[in-house]
Amino acid sequence: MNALRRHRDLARIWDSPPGWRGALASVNHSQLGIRLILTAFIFFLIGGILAMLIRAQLATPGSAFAGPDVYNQLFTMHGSIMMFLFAIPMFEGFAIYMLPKMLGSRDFAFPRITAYGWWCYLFGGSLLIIAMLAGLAPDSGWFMYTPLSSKPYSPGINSDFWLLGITFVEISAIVTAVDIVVSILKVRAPGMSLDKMPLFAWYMLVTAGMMLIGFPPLILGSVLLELERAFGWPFFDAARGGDSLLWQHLFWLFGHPEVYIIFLPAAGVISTILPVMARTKILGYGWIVGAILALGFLSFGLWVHHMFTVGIPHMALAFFSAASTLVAIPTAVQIFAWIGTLWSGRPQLRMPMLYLIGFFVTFVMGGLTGVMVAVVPFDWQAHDSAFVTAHLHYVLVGGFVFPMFAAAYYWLAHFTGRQRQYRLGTLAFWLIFVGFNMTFFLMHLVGLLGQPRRIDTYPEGIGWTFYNLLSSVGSFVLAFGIALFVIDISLQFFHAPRSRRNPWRAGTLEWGMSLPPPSYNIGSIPHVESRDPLEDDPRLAHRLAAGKGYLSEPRRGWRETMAVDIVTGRADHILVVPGNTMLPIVTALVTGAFFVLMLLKFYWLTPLPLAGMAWLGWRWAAALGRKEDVGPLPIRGEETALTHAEVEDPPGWWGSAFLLAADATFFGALLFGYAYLWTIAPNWPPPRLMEASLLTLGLGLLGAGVASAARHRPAAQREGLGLAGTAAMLIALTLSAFFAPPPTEHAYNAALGVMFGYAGFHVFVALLAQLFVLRRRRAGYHSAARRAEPRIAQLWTDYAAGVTAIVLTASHVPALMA
Amino acid sequence: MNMIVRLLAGLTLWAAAFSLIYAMEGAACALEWHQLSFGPLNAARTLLVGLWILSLLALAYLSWSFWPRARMGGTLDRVAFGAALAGLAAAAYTGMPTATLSLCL
Amino acid sequence: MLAGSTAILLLVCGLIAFAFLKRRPASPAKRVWIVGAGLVFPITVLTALLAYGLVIGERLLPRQSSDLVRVSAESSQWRWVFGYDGGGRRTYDALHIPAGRPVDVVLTTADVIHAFWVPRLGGKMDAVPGRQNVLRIEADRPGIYAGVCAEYCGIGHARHGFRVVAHDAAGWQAFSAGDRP
Ligand code: HEM
Ligand SMILES: [Cu+2]
Repeated sequence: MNALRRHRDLARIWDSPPGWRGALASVNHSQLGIRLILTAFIFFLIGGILAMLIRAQLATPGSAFAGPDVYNQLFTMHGSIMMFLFAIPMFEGFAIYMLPKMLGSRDFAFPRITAYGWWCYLFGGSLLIIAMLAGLAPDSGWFMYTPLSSKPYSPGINSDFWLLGITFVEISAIVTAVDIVVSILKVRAPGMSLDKMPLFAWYMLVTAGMMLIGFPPLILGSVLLELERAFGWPFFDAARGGDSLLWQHLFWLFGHPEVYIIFLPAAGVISTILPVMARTKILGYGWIVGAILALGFLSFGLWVHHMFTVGIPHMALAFFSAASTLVAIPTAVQIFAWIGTLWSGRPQLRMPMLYLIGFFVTFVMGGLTGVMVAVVPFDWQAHDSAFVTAHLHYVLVGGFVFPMFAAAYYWLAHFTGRQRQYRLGTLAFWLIFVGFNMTFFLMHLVGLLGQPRRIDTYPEGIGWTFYNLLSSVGSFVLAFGIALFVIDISLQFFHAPRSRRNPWRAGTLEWGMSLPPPSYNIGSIPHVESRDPLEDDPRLAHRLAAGKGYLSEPRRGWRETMAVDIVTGRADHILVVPGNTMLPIVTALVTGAFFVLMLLKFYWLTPLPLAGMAWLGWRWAAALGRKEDVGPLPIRGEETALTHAEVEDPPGWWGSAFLLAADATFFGALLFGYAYLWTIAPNWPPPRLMEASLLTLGLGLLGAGVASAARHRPAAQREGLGLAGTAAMLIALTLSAFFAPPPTEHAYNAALGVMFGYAGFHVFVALLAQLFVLRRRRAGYHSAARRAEPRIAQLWTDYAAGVTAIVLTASHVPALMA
Repeated sequence: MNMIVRLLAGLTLWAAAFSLIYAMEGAACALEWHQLSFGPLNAARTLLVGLWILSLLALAYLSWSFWPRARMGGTLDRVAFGAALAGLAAAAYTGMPTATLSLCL
Repeated sequence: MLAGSTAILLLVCGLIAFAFLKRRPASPAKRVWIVGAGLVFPITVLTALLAYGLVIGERLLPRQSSDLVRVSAESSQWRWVFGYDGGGRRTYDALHIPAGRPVDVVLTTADVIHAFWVPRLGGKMDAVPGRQNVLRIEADRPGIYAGVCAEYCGIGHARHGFRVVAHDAAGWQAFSAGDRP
């Protein structure tokens, strides 16, 4: 088979059909990555326009440009858009586009999930924009502190838009994170052991892992607050045993790691570009991997530094102050590894490098002010002042926007297939750099003079006017620079000469393909021997196109790529990924219907979309699988491998495991909330405890034990026992919920309600999974070789059993003891 | 898989110890254990410092047990050892206030 | 802190600039860059800074003291009610304190979270529903100090300010005796 034949055959399998149907059904990672990047950039521009309006209002004292009600919507939407709709989706899109190419694979592990993630993000983000256009945008600040965001003080629909819209977007972030983790761990080119992975993949691996742990607390918080707003369950109402500080804990448990979640991918970009710009290799690969891991963990130990002024004992503040200073150390390791890399090479001042220098200056300043606010007494002064606004923009713009602009110039040829020609970019950079520093440097000063953040106006004659005016001028210079950047980039798209392959002479695999890349990325998959495969073999691209790697012969119309052993990178099996389908968009629409019904307060209609989702989930799983064993197939020369349907732990199993890990964090945060309210909140103990019963508890625990232990039995028995155990759990939970006091009365009751609901939901999912397995076995989808489905169902059953046992114990035992 | 566990072990242990100490500090103040003492030992202080020292011992043991592989093995073995050491250092650093600062003020 | 930060910033900029100016690659010394500059240097600086911060923090805590004055501050949308002598006397949007003596402000809220901040008296503290937080302040000399609400609290947030009037000993006596200030 020659290269052209191979290209035609692969393109027929991987391309999306033309027209709008093809666009709606596409699951291709390159297309979806670009869509995410573009959508996120549009949100960046919207957020930027809001920022301009904010600065216009603050330019002069006593300005009547926007009243307080509008101003509050402006900064709330600016913050929320930038954090949730710009930064996270931007790096996700970038990772979705780039990771498979860097890792030498043809797609992500779960292409349909990739598509579902983008649709959810698009719909959720649009909800917020619609709210804004209707003048109903959220207005309680991007961290939505209760009780300001609770019903009595925000009676309108504004806060509901935030809670529901952002949760919708977060669902997309969680599933995308699972997609990223499993793809990095399992779907790489053979030979690429973990320590030969490009650094960017390490950064994304840790980032996605952090998302799985960091986002669930926010989703929990949003669910609880929406329950309080919609049904009066008092989680945050101090009068009824709630505590507004619980919201702050849940929010910042997400919110601080979030900042590092945004920074790490950008750092990954720097670690990729900088050595190429300096014509050398990165200094201290192992050290950097260690630093990424350390950042990933330490950043979870900082959340209380946002709460230094809420009245927590000094010793507790000291733990977080210490952790906050500590986190600067892995950051310093990276910064100096980068500078050392520059020293050891011959750096050239090309466009991407210019933005990297902008990054260094800005980010180091942000880091230094960050260390300052980590010191408790200093923070008691600077907290919630314009100083903090300045600090956070130095970190976020310096640590994310500048590197992303560098990335845009570095990888532009990849997206467009063209080389940079116009020189507008340099001017744009200087406008952005100068404008940015002018805007925000002054905010440090005026913050120290006592200007709080989030004020819509300020009086004349207290010395703030001058700083604010100059800062606003700076922001318009910045905006002008960004406009030039957009023009510069658009020009490259339309009118520039074609780029040659690998224009920067980089060593990573994403440059080993024709530009722009075909839908299947590479004609065959390489065997990777080092961290810079293209450097070892500059003609690799040609050899891959000529079919010298793995999976060079398209067969059966399958979309094939290689899956490897996690650590060693040994070829493990052939992953056949699903092709284009309407399922993602339909599922996203049904998910969206649920959120819209919640928003419109048609609560009685919500079971409809929920049932729809259960049905779609079934379809989703049923679309896969095979009724016969195919056995080992050739992958390269004499080598053979099984397909993923016939191995013990296919990516689907890992996907479930990581999704459950995120789910478990959600549950952990829920238990934390329950314990926290019990020990710390005012107005406890509750007026009455639930009516506990040893019998119900025993029944539930027995059911959990049986459902979980059934795994060791042969199929038919396992299914029977599983169903019986699951039914017992369902009965025990229903009885417990029935004998619990009404949830609106006290936070204790409400917490119990959520715990029973959570466990009940998972028992229900386990039930569905078991019924699914039963049907599929009868229909002939399982064999001794094809055994993954029952294993995955068992995973969900075990999780439900564990959750039920814990929930029943945590609810009945305290009541029994009292 | 083992490799991944080793890469994560040290820092996970730090995170667990950190959360536990913070949670116990909150509980101790809420339940007023700082008013309680056994002879010369303040109950809350003893609990917190005890947890801190325990976490240090556990992390020291972990680092020590990773050392042989770090000396012989590849890049990731050294990273795992480094991460365990980082966990130990972080535990020492962030736990210090249990011994030095005033309780529940 | 400011001088130190500036020095570090300049150092980093200098190191980067040198990377571009030098003629040929400097030999990469992992030990110098990563262990020296990346670990030892920040650990030293940060430990010192942390210790310093914690010592100061301990000193600012509301401990017992013989000449202590206790006042209460109830915040609401958008007003401050200050109480003296266990709530017997009240003033609105102006807090009276003696200069040169430590004052504990007991903060509560009637609705959402607010924060008490007088930039020139240092420190701030939130007023959280269901709790009483205590902030220790001290004015060195008599005078009028502007205070703001530092936690975003809705439409009236920007205008949720107040004044602190610090009296000399005689003035405080007069205020305590019930004279209108
Ligand atoms: C493009 C230039 C930008 C300008 C001129 C700008 C300006 C501002 C200003 C003036 C505020 C303060 C509002 C107030 O306190 O009343 C603010 C808040 C904020 N900005 Fe930006 N910003 C920009 C970009 C960004 C980016 C890129 C991000 C994040 C990735 C971001 C995240 C935030 C957040 C989280 C807040 C806090 C919102 C709140 O208090 O609820 N900004 N911005
Ligand atoms: Cu206020």
